[in-house]
Amino acid sequence: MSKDKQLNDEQDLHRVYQDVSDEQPSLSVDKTILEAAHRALESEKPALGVDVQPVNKAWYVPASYVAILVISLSVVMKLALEPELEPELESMQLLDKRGYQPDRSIDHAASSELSQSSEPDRAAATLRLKEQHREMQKAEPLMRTLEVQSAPPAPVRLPEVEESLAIPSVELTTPETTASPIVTDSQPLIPDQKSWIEKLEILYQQQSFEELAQSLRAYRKLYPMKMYPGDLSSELMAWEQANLPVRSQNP
Amino acid sequence: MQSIELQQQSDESLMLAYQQGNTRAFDVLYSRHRAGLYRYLLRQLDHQVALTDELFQEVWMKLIHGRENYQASAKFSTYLYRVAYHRLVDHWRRGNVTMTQPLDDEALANTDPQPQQSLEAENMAAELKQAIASLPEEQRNAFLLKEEGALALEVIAEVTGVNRETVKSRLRYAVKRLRQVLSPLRSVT
Repeated sequence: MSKDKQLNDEQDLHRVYQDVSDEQPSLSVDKTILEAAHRALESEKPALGVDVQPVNKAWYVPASYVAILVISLSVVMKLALEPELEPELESMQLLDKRGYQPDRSIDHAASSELSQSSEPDRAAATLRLKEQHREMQKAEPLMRTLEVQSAPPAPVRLPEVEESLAIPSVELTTPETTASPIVTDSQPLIPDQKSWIEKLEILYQQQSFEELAQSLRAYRKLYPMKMYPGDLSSELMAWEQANLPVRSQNP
Repeated sequence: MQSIELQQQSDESLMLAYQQGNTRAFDVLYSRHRAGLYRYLLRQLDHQVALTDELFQEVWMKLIHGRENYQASAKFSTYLYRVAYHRLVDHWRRGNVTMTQPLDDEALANTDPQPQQSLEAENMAAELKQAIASLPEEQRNAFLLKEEGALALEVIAEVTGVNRETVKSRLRYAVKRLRQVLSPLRSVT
């Protein structure tokens, strides 16, 4: 069979086939399929017939972009405008001078982490270091209070006490009195309680009652009887109760 | 106005428009392919109308519900007839085969058409349909895809999963057999 004959056969057959082919689906089948096609699209639409705009045209998409931009700018500005680290380091040095010894291991760890880390890690480490310093700054008043309480009583000048202190340092000739830190004009400091009590006892034994009364009043201003009920010997306490008014004992 | 514009659009554009929610586009697309696809299935299913209606609807439903899977890179007719062919294969694999046994070569060769002067075009149509039904399944499929789907050899090869030369050979044999049936009839008419 030649190629031309085959082509003619095919064309002829095609023509005959198209002439005799007239079958079609029924109208009910057409209706079923078309309704299904329409229903499929309607089911995609939201309920209640609300025609929602496509997502890319909705108002909340640009709004969310704006929100992200604003938040990002806020974070950047906050980081840029935060106080520098140096003033806080100065305050740390001040604390060191006052004797406060912070836990340097934390700082060293953070500093080494800061120096060895990459740029984003360094930013995070800087933030942690700043936070530690801030906490230390907050704790500074408390540390000072603790230092004051734990330290030995520092010499404090109290003018009115100094005036009332008429401890006869000159008259005291015993070795104990010369060695003890009795308040003098050149060294007008308040002695510690124990040595003060010893001097009061000496005055009582020497029967220098006028000076004893004066000195005892000064003593009670610093060491009230309410807080130190058994500080004096029983004899001296009995003398105090007998000769000094209660007001002077409990200022 | 919109309907006229849709009529001028390609099958692929119409399918994309339907994906976007244009139901009119589907109406136009369906009107273009309903008859061809129906006849393709009808001849493959030995003219069983009820079964053809069922599979015809299933093919379109699959296309409707899988519209998101369609990509414009594929020709619509290729997509449609591939779905239909796979649905037919599924049907045959389930054992629901009620096809007529194809006539063997000897039977075809010994076909002795009765020369009847009064044979009319309807008879010729019936004979042709019978001849198509008697073709081997591969030849019949290739012939119907070409006639009803207007698919090129390459596309038929893609749909049926064979190479182009095989399709060409199947078509040649199909045409030869059908010509053998038609020639006496046409000489009479």
